[in-house]
Amino acid sequence: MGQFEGSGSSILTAARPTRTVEGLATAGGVTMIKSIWTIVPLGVLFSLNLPASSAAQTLGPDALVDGFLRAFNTHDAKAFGSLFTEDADWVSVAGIRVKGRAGIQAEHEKAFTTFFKSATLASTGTTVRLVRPDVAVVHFNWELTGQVDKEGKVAAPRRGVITIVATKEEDQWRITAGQNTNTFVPP
Amino acid sequence: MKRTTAISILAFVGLSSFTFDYAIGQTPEPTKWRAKDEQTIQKVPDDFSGAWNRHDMKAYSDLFTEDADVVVINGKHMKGRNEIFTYHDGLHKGVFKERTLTARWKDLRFIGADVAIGHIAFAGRSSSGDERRNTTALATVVLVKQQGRWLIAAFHNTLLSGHPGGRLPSDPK
Repeated sequence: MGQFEGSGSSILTAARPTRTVEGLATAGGVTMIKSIWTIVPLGVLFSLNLPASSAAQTLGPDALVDGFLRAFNTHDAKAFGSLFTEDADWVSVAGIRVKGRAGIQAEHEKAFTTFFKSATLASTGTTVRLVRPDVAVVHFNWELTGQVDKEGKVAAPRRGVITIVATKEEDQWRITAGQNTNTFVPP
Repeated sequence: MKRTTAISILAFVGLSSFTFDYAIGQTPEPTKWRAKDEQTIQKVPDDFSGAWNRHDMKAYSDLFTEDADVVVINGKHMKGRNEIFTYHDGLHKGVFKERTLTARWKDLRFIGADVAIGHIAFAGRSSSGDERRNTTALATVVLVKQQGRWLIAAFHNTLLSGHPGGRLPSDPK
């Protein structure tokens, strides 16, 4: 089927509300205020809260796992690709390396329209470690269900682990390198 | 108004020059440190396979940072040098006693001055010469510079052929 056959990813059951969304909702509320006397104190309050709301709008590297699962489970290759840096690397469960966001997106587009078209990925545990304030190493264990073969037969669930190396540029965390491995049981 | 603009421009130019001078003063000349760092990093696969082939897991685990993350071909995730040592030492006293490997960089790129990401290709062999036990693998490797040494901060290895002798949890027993 292609070099990405057998590659696993993740799924999210529901897009949970993020801190970003909450922050924006607060800001949006200001537009509804009519009186200048209400706006001024609110403006002051908003300014005072600025550091806190800026922080709230900067999602941590762990949010990439949520984004990964969401894009995988909605089979949205474009959203999936947007999680990666332009020069990102990805190594699939078959040990095949794909270079660049465009390639990663294209391979997952193939997967999402074929063997992963009804597949669901779930994380069973995430760890995050900062190796520098702007470089994070993220791991998550996953469980994949609903993968189909060429005849449309549903495969048994499988498990594995993904390493993500994320970098922060202009307040945005993106995946710059990642690798996936199936978990094997010793013979 | 004009005066304010002029002051702003002067202030900006002054600040820029200061920043520029500061940057030149503090940062080593990029091509020089990069060439030296690349030279050091080039040795990592040889150090890795050397320690492995001598079954010297102390030397092997010393290639990693104290808090390194390692994911090996069967999906096992280790955290920290101690765990890396214990796991591999056990294997090298047993089933890996007759395993050797060769390793080489496929690519390498820098994320700033003290972090580098690359991929190492591995070929594993059995000393019995049994070719059915030959394996190839590819690993994502994250290196960090700590006290002048480049150490492996994260390592994730995947076999190109699937796990020999292992099975997926979903495979029939």
